[in-house]
Amino acid sequence: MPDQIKRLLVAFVIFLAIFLLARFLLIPESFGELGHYRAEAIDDVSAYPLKHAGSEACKECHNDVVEELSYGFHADLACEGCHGPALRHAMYSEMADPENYPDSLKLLRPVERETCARCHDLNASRVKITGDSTDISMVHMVNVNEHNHFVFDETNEIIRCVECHFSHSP
Amino acid sequence: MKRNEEKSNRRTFLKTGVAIAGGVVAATLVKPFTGVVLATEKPSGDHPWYGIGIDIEKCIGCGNCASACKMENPVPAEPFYFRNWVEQYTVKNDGTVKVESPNGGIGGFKQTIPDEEIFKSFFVPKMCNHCAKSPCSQVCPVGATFETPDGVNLIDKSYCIGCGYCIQACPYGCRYMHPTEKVVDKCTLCYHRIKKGLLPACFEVCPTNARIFGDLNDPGSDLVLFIKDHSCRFLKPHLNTVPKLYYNALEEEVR
Repeated sequence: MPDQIKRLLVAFVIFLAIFLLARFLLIPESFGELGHYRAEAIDDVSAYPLKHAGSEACKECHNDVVEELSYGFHADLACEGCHGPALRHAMYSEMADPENYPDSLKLLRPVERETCARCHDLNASRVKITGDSTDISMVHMVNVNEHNHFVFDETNEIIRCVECHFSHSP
Repeated sequence: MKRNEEKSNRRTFLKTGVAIAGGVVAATLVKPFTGVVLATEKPSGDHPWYGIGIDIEKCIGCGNCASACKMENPVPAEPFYFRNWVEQYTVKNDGTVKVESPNGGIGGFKQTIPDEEIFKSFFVPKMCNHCAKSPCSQVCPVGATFETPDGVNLIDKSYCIGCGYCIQACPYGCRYMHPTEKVVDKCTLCYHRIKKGLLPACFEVCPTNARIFGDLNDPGSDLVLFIKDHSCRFLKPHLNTVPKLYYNALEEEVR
């Protein structure tokens, strides 16, 4: 074998060794187990923290509200749709004393007209009753800008929906 | 002499042609072409195959889904970063279509067009379609985005290099560059919730049950019954991305 070929072979072997070493060091362990990705990434994503507890968790403590809800049209609504994510509130309250309960874990209690308007404001996109395929007719529509639009003189505030309507059981 | 050469050339050409054609036929028999996969087709293995149903007839555009998503997941608060959002379509009498999505629907909608000009109007909730043949994971140069065995399209944030190819590849506009993490972010179908047996946040808070989550492999799941019950359509079916988001009452104007 000519000398130059031998020298080339040595160089080739060295490059191959460097390539294999780099490949071994750079590719994560679980890469390619399930496909062209890192299989451990699935566990990483599964471990993200939860924020919403689900209405079942609310029912464990707030029996009185469950009863209120059961009388009205809002019985099937998720608590967290209006009150916000409640997992930390639910975990903490199990052992908490109400007096020292931190404000940061208190849930939203939205009472503004805008909150009700999100579902109940008159809107052509919302009014559509098509046969028996939907219960959309159950969502009551009012023109939030006109309906009982009184302004209190003392505070210059518009009367809120909840002054007349009980939001848990409308 | 010249004639003979031509003749033999023709013969060789025909022989080669027949050999190639026969080879293609034989190869097809050995390994059939499986390019067209249907999302409802049961994938190999005994695991769930998650899908989504959205009933446009039931959506009232309250925006609970969009705000719950931002509260459950680390989505930036700016009004142009969304993992899911709601669009309000209004078709006027003259045929023009107006699409609005103020802050993705968070805080509700107002109809800006007077009633007498409206021919029809409806809300369309949008989110990742979790395609079975997702273009976004096909273009990723490092394997940072992928489809899990149970049919959810995820991002490996520690592996993403932030090149943004997938953002351009997604025909549904469901990906964005996270401004602080500098990697791509998208809907995970709340993978951390569904793996614990909970509903994804947007499905949890929907007041009219316009969103249906379920396992396409389970013939008794809510989603399979929903698809059976309604005439569902996909968004952009001609792209053959095989979405697993089934829309009921999807109108032609929706893009």
